[in-house]
Amino acid sequence: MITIDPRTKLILIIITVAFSMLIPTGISTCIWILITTFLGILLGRVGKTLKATLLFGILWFVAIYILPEISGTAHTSLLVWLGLVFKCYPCCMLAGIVIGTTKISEFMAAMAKWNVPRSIVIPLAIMFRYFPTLKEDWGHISDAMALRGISLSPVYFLKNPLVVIEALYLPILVTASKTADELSASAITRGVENPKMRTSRLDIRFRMTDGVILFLFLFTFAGIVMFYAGGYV
Amino acid sequence: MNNDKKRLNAKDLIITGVFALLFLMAAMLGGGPFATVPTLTFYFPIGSAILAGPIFMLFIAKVPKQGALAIIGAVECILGTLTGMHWGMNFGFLICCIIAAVIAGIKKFESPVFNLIAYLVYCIGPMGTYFVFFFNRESWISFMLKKGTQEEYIQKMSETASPSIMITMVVGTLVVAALSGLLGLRLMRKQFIKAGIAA
Amino acid sequence: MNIDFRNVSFSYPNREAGALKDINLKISQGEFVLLAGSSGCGKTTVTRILNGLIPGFYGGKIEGNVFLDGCEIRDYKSYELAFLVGSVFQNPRTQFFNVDTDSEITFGLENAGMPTKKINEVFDKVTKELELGNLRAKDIFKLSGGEKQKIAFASVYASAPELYLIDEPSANLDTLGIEALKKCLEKIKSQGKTVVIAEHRLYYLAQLVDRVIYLKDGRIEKEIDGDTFRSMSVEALNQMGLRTNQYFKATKKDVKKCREITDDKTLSLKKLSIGYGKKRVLNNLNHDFYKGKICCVTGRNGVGKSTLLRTVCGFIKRSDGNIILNGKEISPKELKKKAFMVMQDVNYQLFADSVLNECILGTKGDSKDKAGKVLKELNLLEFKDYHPNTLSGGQKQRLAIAVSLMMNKEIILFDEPTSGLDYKNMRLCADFLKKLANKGKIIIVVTHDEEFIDCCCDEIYNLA
Repeated sequence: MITIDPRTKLILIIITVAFSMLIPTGISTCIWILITTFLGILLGRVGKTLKATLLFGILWFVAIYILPEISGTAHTSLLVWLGLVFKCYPCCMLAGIVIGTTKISEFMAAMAKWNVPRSIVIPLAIMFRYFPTLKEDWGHISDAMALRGISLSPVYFLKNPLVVIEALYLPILVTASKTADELSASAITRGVENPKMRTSRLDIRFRMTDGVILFLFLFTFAGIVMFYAGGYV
Repeated sequence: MNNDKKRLNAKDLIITGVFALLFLMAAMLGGGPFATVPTLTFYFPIGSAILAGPIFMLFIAKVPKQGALAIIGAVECILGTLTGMHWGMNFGFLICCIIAAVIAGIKKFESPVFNLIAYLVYCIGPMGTYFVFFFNRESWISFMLKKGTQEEYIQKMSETASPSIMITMVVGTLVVAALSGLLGLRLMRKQFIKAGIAA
Repeated sequence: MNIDFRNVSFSYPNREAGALKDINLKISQGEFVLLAGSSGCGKTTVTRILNGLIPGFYGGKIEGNVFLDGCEIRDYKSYELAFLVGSVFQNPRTQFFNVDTDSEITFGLENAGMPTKKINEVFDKVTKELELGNLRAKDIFKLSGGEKQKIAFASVYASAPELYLIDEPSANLDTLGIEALKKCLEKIKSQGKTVVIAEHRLYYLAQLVDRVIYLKDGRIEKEIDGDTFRSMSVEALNQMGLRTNQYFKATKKDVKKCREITDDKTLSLKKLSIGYGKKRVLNNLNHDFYKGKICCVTGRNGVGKSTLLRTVCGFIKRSDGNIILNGKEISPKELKKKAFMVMQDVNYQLFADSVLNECILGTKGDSKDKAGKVLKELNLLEFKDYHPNTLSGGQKQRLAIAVSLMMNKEIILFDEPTSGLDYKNMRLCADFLKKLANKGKIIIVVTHDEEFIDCCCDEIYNLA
């Protein structure tokens, strides 16, 4: 198992975005999924990566062999849907691998090294931080709704639309506001507004493996571009 | 202490982060059911506009600074890129947030009409992907049509991006966004301001 | 760190409570000062002025001068103050910025731009001195309230400030958590730091306190030195609206002696178990809860008190055993209709835009009259047009009780109802619970507040 710098992972994602922007979906997409699978396994995330590859394989099979057998509007909508899925798949799969193998603090520290402004870093960090709290809050609120006999079923909603709407929005926004205030107070009193560049307790550096992986992806990208530009695909 | 009226301080940024997540959840819960069903995929922007109106209105009341909405756009764009969403939606969202921020900011975020228009613009963002598809569909789906004839090919191309689908998507989104925005304005008056959370 | 308040007055922009009037106060290096008083007396306001959150974060205007070691506090920026003043807040859930414990402890140091090597040295020192070995590299969301508060404390400790400001830190902690907190406070006192702590629960601080500042309506009413405070009687303290200064354990009362109990006046748990195998949370519980009686459920953190509450509310299906109400077995669905829980954070259960509307929400027909009566009983009638979110903690709680009465619920459960309540409101809460019991409701309260248990509980059920 290897580890690579979070910034390398970011660059890989950007290369993949460029790939899906410029190259039409086709056999090159399959090649890209292959090198992504390779990376996922190298980073130690074997199970989930292989499942994603398998899913891609199944969808590809459906697109090439099953889709031509369908006709009419079903064919059209499936065509569009698959088109969207394949356009997004390489990035999505790589993103899954990156998120699953990087700690938030690692990621934030890497962003700091690149001098990404705090007006981006802080909200991003807070989004990840707030997510589990939001889930907990929502759990309590839906319990409270159940005890009040407020349900989200369509029947109840049609009879009492305003009650359901207010129950959905008010508690969550009230607790979100409170959480934001308390989070801010705690962060500010620990110096988060300090304009000096943020440091980290982790040592984040580029290593040989980063170079090798970057080279692999760039080489594949260049190769595909050349083949495509040369009219071979 | 930091009294700069236009710049975003730490409290603003943290509130932005919290609300960015709420926006994301609203888009996913509202639009998710559309995106995952093949026949309804194009109508994802309609779904994602349903729930976010009240959240939008409360957010611009709490942080009435243009930078805040722009950062929502930037953060969602980055997050979208990092999770593999299509660049059409990511950058569409960013651009629309910036425009929305400018529109609402003209009247210092205090005019209900301008805020409503800003929300409509905000909801246009997710349509980016589908506009890109419309103008560039060959590169997305050609490889799946290799087995058919030339005529069938041309016919499929026009079917998949028929103007009626696009119009339904645009009009539907704007109508739903208007309703959600109006709901947001009403909830602001009735609940949020009275509750004291709009400060 | 020497603190000097000179003729300080302050009021919040949107409310009267918590204002300060003409405060003159001197605190010298190494003193451990307790700010005490009823809710709204201004003790939290004093801490907010000292850490710069007033006026920067909360707005409002300050008159007078506040000096830290001779320098005017308003000349400091928020991050400059962060080096001198460390703040620990009430709510363990919302104080942390990161998701893992290690990053949280070094958060302040990272903000300050300390070099990586030094950060790690300080980190090792802090974890050793505060005995955090078992909390390293953990997911903060999986910690208990007390452990979270310990990490919050460690994060502040890492920056080694001279002044510690602590605002009601025990409000959301159980007994064990409070003991761990006390140890941390002993540590910083032994280091000669200046500590200013605002609190309702006084008993765990009694041995540490050098001086008590008693505030009333924004003024310093009395200053009591440590020894005098320690020798004060509980009655004298209660007269001042303060809680006890001594460790106290409520005595167990035996309800079976009270009156004739028949089957149809009880909620019974028979061999109740929740969870399977290794994930078994509750095991073979057998207990009866009686109508008209208040039963307090106690037990250390993690023993399953919340699970019990949620099971009685009908949210969790039992794995084994039965729940019987009025002689008949009752299903989770029916329990949801008959039971109501007043949660620790009442904000989760308030949905309407006025107190009156909250009461009539979801009810059929013309229930405004009934609502009026219920609100009057609970001292909330004058607030009927107020938005629920503008009420105080104790008032919100009473509103939730009003809702349960409007819905004719038979079983009413309370989850830590007195966290963050001052003495007067704690007594009020006890009184209202007794009123509810007199209406024939089954009252079950999860709490570790011994004074409260002593005031109103008929029976103690310990989930050991």
